[in-house]
Amino acid sequence: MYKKVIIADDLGSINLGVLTIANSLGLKNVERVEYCDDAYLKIKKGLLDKEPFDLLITDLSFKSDHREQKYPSGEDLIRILSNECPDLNIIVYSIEDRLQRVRRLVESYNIIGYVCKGRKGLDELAQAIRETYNSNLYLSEQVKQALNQKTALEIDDFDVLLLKDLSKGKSQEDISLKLKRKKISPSSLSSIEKRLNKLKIQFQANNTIHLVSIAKDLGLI
Amino acid sequence: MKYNFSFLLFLGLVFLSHATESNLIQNKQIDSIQYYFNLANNPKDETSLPKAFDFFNKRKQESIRNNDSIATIKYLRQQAIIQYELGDYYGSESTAVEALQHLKGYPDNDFAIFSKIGLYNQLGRTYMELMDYDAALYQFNKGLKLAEAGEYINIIKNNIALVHIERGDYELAEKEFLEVYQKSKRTSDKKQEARALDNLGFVESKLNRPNALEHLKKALQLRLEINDRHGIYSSYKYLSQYYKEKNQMSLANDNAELAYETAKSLGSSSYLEDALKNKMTIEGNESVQEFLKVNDSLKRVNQLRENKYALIKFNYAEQERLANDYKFKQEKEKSQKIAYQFIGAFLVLIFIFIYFYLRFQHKKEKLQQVYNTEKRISKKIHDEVANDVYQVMSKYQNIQPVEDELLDDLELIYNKTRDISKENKSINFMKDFSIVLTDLLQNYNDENIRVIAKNLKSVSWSSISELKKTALYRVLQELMTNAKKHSQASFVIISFEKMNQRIAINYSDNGIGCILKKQNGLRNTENRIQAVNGTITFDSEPGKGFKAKITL
Repeated sequence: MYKKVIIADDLGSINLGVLTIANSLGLKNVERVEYCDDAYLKIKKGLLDKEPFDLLITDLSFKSDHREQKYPSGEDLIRILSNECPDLNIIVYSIEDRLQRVRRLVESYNIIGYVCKGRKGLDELAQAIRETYNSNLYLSEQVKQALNQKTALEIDDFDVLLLKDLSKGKSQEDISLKLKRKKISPSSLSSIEKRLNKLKIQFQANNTIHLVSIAKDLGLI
Repeated sequence: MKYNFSFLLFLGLVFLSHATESNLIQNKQIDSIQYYFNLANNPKDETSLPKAFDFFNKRKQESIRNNDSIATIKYLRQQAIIQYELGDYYGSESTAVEALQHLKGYPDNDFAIFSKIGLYNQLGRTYMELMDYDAALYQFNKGLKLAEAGEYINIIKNNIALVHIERGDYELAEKEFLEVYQKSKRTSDKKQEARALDNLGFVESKLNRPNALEHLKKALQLRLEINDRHGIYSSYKYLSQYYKEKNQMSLANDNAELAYETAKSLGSSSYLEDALKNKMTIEGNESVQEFLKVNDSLKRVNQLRENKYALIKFNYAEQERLANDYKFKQEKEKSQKIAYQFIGAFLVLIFIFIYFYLRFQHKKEKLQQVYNTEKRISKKIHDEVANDVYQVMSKYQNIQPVEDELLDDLELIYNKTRDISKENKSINFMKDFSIVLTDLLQNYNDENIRVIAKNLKSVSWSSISELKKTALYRVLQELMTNAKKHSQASFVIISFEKMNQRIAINYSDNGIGCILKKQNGLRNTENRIQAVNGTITFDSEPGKGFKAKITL
């Protein structure tokens, strides 16, 4: 398990909740801070003392108060740490559930876990700590799609053309020939098949007939 | 006309030479002016005067353009003199009047007075030629009032006396000549003195005064002394006429012969003609005398007729000129009017443009303020309410035993606050907007509802303003929330299409549909789209799904 953990969250009670979870997971060395600047200083000190932290759990949004902060948000802290302490593991624990934000944090700063606060938040956090320790990326259910293929919900005119031809009773071979004749690319049988498989997944259709029927119902064709 | 031959020639020269001096001294004019001045003064052939007139006309127009009134007046005077010499008396009159008009607003300095005297004198001479003696006298007297220097006074008085002679008022002429003679005696100008004396003698001879012959002879004496050959000619001529009157025919013949010889030596045809005429008057028999008389009166009649014709011609030309001026003025006014209208229209357009631009700016600012407020409230709800609720929730989670019902309620409140906050959260415009929209739609994708976007990636968003993007984002958010909560739809298809400068977005789902009425949520979306000059229409019936068409 992680040897040295630091938790940054400005709400004492949540901090406490996180602490409870950490204890139940058998994390011995856990520190709590309420400001990002404090977290940064402690992490740097750990490095200097040759006793570095190996996990940071942080919120993204911190209320601003009388203390002027060099790193006013969790993202600021994560940005500087991903640069200066690349070995540190970071799990974000936040209300924020916008995919864009999650994706950016994962892709740009290599955070290893993202847990959304909520009813099941603490349970998920516990799971995240376990999973990430096993080198798996953990994302809460709500934000899992952040890293899914971005084309998952995207269709285009070519797809509609395919569906239309199918609805007219054309075979895939016919369609391929027609596309070739019209010099539309892609036109190979295999790429048509690929497209149809994608569409079947997108429209949750069991087979091509089902797919055409759904498309017709939706007024796509 | 037969009397004033020599006087007038002389008077013209005096004024012209004066003009030369002032030209040279005041302006150091270039050679061409001097050349044309000399040309006007001593015409070489029949083209000289018209050439000179043309030259001065051009200079005058240039001066008018340059607002140089001194030069304008000077050139006008030259033109008046040339026109007079050409026999265009009406033209000369109008030119002189024009010059006087230019002088009206001019301060009374030496130049103005000198010019006025010259112009009045010129006008007087013109009226004399036109045989309008009252007008001539009127002009000469005007000049006389201004003339202070004796030189000018003498010249004008000479001319006045000539008018009297023309009218046969020899006593009046005598008075004038006497005055001129007495004045010129005081100057050292022998030539002038001789002329005054000669003129006096001539008038005296007409009046049968006893000292007429003495004066005529003395004048000749003076002229012989200074070798004034034009003067000498004049003296011989008058003497011959005097002797003829007195019936001393041999003396008359001698003097007429001498006058003829002098005229020959002068080499001037006009002098020669005059001399021959004089000789014939004295020597000739009765029919010659009669011929000369008839010839004279014919010439006079011709002159009068010519003058009349010239007047008609001049009036016609003048009218034409005025008509042209009027036409030109009208056209100028018209073009000015058009220009003003154009400027006016342009200003109105600019005002309209500014008005709409300001209105547009104002609207934009207001909209921006609305979005900013939304963002601020969203952050407050997120940071303060949602977090607090979550704090309470997690606190109770840790206390055992906990009532599940309470936690459920808390979670409901937490989710609601979080959703409100999310609905108004700021949008990241740094990224490609199609990715932002994909993420938004992706959020609603789950096992119950499939969201499919058609041609989202192929639309270019760069030309769409942030305000429009914000509006669209919020509207799609609302439509999707609606779909998830109420429609029971399993599919939502949102298609994007670029149309010229606009983007059309079609939303459609396969849910239960609804009866369209102005629900709050729909009105909200309408407001948002209309605020950015877009359109949104809805179409739905129970059991037929829900459709929305947006153009931005």
